[in-house]
Amino acid sequence: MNNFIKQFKNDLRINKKTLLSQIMLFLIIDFLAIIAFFIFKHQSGVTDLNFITFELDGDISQQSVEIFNNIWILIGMGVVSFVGFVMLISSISLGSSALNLDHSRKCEIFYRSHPISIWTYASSKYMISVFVPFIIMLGIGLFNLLLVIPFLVPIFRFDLFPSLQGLFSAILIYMRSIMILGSIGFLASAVFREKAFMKLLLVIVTVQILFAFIHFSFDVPLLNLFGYIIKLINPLQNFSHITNLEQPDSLSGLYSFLSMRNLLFNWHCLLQIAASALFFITGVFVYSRKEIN
Amino acid sequence: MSDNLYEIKGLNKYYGKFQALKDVDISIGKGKIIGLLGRNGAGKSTLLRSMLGLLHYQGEISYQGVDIRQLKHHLFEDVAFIPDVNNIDDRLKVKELIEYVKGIHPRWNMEQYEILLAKSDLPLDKSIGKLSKGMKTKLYLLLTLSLDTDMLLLDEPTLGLDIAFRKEFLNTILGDYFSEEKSIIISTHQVEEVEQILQEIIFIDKGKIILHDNVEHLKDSYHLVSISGDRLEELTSRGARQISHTFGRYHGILPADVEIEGAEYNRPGLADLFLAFTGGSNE
Repeated sequence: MNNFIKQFKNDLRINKKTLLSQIMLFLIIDFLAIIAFFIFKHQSGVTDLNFITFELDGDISQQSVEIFNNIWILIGMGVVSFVGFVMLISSISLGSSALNLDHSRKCEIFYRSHPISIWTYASSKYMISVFVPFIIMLGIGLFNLLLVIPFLVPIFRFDLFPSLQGLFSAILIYMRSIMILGSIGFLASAVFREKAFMKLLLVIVTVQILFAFIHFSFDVPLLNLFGYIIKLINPLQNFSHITNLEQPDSLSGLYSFLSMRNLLFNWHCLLQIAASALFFITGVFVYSRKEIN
Repeated sequence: MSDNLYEIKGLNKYYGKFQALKDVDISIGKGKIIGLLGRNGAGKSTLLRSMLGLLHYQGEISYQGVDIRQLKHHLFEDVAFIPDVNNIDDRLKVKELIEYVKGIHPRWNMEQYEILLAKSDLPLDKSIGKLSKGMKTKLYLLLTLSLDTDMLLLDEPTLGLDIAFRKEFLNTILGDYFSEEKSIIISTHQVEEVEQILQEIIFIDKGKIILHDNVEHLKDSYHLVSISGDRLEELTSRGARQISHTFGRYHGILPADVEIEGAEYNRPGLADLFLAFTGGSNE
């Protein structure tokens, strides 16, 4: 465990620039958004932003409370949406260079000629690809939420719990995709020494073409490899049975939509965890068979 | 437990169809400084990397009686390795890399580290990427010599360094690392520079070990014979190796017990002996 912490700390330092640049990107976007807000406010001459039609004074009906709560759930989800998307891309990038970057920088032999096991070395790289984007997403998400609260409180009656529920729900949804994409990238980095993700895509495309050829030649059912992969990545795959979001009063269904059953405790999530574990173990196994030159 | 640190038996290594090592058998004892000499592509690096378990191979390699495949990464608790110093991670600061090695290596010797650090002029806060090759060498040495390992493998560590750094490198290795309990294998092209410190020599050519001997014994077994320019046939008829012609005289390597009347005799250098054994040319 001690060696893992040392290796992880070292890998964090190695990736410091990449990770900090992502954090800086979000902070700059936040800063620009605030400036844009004040410019808009100044130029439009709007001083009172309370343009919501609900009656905020006096008794607030149960339905209004629900609507406000749902709005804060959406705000909580909204503040993390862009961060989550960028972290998805980042997890692919970090994952697909996890086990081959040291090689291409010619320092793999330095690390591998020290008393550190392949599993420790690879686990640390895996955590950088999967866990660190999650932490950044969580940190920036919370920061964004804190940032928007003062601007939105005059408009919507604030409630902390729904906003946090929205935030954590979005993070969990993204986390599942990050886990899968990071793991696929990690496996690619174990197989290919450079341009790993592109090469993996090429392999998948080739296999898909082969399946299509078999399908048309022998009239056997077409195996849609891309379809399976997208289903595996898509965290909303198990949400397909929920249809009330398409209805006009669907906002009231957000609480049930974001239940723990839908977010975590379901077969699709279990499949994603199992597939990620499989990609990780296969990746480490493939990497352990490689020679260090 | 074996008296030898390393035992290598029937080691073969293939890169595709190319055989990089051919039936290598070597024993490496304790307290030895051993030179590994061979041309480019002779198999020096392949041999050292195989000894560290970094490459797949056929045959047996054991360290202190245990198969290195079983030892896995634990081998590096006892064996340190310095390849080309450019293999050091230049994304980190000097102090960060030191902290990493200190943290993961169970045989880190803090006392030794502090002595070596006090002697060096390494800028701890500087990024490794901004260090000169000479400074990187010093850092690699600091990291390696701060470890209480029993064996040190050096794979062309001073390649590209100027002579002052090469000299300093070797002096540091000898002064701060070597003891009767430790062994060093140095693979190098600059054999003249290490010749004085080597106790044993291994000649490797086209993947085969063609000689493994005590340096003094080897030098005593041969002599460098020099005769006048009209007596070439006397050299060739006695089976002289590595015949060369300079300043109107012929030179060749002959076994010490073979003498030619009127010839001059000198002690051969390791480079001469290597060329004599591998059939190379002085040109």
